[in-house]
Amino acid sequence: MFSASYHRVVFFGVQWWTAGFYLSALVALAIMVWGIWLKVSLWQSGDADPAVIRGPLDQGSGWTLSWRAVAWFFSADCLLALRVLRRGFYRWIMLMLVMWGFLILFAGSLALMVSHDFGTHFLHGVVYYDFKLILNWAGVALLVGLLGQAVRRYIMAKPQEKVYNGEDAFMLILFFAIGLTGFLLQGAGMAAEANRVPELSWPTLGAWVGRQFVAMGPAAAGSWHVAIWFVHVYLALFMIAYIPFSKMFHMYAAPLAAGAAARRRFIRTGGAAAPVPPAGAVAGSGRALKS
Amino acid sequence: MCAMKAEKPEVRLWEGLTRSDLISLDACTRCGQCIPYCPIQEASGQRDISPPEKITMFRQLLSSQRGARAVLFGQRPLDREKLQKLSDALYHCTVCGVCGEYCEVGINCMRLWPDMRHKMVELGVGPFGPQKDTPKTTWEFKNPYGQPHSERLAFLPPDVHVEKAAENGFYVGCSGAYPSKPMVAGAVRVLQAAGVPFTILDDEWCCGFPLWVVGVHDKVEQFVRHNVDEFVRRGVKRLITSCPCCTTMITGNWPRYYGKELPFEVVHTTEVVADALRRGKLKIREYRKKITYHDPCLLARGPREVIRPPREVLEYVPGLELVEMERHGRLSKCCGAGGGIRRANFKMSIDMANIVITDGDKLGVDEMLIDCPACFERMHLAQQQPDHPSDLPILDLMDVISRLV
Repeated sequence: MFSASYHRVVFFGVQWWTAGFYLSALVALAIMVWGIWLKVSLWQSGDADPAVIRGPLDQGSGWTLSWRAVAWFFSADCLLALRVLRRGFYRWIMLMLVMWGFLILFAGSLALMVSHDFGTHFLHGVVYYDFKLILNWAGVALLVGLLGQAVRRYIMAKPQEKVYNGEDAFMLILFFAIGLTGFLLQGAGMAAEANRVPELSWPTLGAWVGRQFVAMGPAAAGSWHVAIWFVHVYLALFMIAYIPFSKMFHMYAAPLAAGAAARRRFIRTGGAAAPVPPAGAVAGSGRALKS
Repeated sequence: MCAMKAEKPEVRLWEGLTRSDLISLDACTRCGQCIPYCPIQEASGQRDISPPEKITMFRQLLSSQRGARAVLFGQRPLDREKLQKLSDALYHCTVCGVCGEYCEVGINCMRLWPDMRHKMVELGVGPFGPQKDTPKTTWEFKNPYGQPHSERLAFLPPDVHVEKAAENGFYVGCSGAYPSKPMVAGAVRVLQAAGVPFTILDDEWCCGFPLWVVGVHDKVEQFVRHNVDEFVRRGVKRLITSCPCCTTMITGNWPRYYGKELPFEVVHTTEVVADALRRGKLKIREYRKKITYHDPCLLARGPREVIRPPREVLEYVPGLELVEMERHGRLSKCCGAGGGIRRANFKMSIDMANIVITDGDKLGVDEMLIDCPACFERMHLAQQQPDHPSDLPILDLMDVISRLV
């Protein structure tokens, strides 16, 4: 299907803007780091959280055990979002698709950077094939999750749950645009770059998009590739810079809040499990205790 | 709408908020999952005063003082219209904390809302309506009801012996001392029957909760220090509380104002009674009734999470059948008495009380037992209104138990 040395040419068609890209990326990262610093310094200017006074019925050593609870909470409630699962499968699966799709795509971008910029060049042959396959499906997951979230928010949600503002819609559109231009970029690249023709037969959404670009010929596809590259890259860099100034910052703050809640509850209950409220009715209605 | 006073530009919105509060502002994803469970939303349906809206408005105002633009180009004056809207939203809240229980990122709303209210007070846009009288009344009378301080112990049944000094102190609380006397009268009778000697302060002051919850914090420390010092003087090693508001205030906030951990333990009456029943120190007569128990917000969701002890007490009552409400324990509904809303919006608080009473009535029980003087007062008041939907008898748990020991 392809040789062991098969790989993608990074910056295909936009080599002339390589320095511009790195400079832009640096600026975006600097803005993000500055934004995070602003937030963290604001948090640090808050008062220390008051200690929870332990009563005689409290058990356990509190501090040590509570951090164990935080670790559990982080894995179960942040990475797997079990609290959301308990509230409803649809919301949970859409969140998982978006979150893990985004994380995998982010990890893929880091892997590409390590392979290209650090001279390791490990994305060749089968590794590259698997890499593309995983990233393609992560991209599909992201798009499906975003569409699903939009349907839930703007079609399925009950009137009293519709508290979404302009920023909520903007974030959905921004993420979706980044994912969509990613596939368009991939497809245009396949059609424009002669040595990527084998990729057109791969079982990926990018390959399907690429086959749509083939008809216009390599030159036109190349022009589209450059245009889409700029749109995709600068949307992504804008998103990176915008994270600390938007509701997306909950990706950092929510795990901290969830961890603090786990610790607070663990201390005040002496280690009792933290049940998660299910959606709607709570079990127990009509249950009679022993008399 | 409360009148807008002159803005105080020196007020920094982040000061006085805890680190958890500040992180919470960024953690809220506006998922809206708390909204269907908010009692204010259930009673009013006003989405512009919902929990996510409050957080969003506060975050926006904070951004004008500490956001990127403020850092680069200087602070902007606070948006007065938004500030007023935020104040209205914050004071149309019972601070019941159920939003925090349903919050998927675990925001501690029971602390966040009062801390935000404190900022509103500093900015001159709080408290709200008749709540404005609370600080003056509470300081003058040592209770928020404006009742004579000399009548604070009028609830005390003549057959109950109170020690001058004892290891157990009983904190009466203003609501029990004045509008809901049967509750604390029942509690002290049961404690005596359980063989628990206790002392009560002749000069007990309000615990400070009514001030703290409306955001007026400047006198709270004096209330706390007076009470703590008096109990210490009487040799108290364990303070027994009755009222959920007092319980939350004492366990969660007194150490903050006292400056260190309290020199005594704090337990709720039902914990002491359950323990006495377990050890066979108290026997209860038959009570052949089918009842439901309404968990008070601040008892079930407060720092001590007193959920199991009242049920344990009920299990020891021969003949009693407990039918749980659909939402109980940490998820129980608010009766509308909390957060000062009963002073600020009478109709809304009565509507909320009626929702809880109706929920109980639907279970086909003989009585609803409660363990909170504020719930007791509000539900009875709701039943005195001309169009009240249910005459389900509302009784206090300790009052009932005291008649069975």
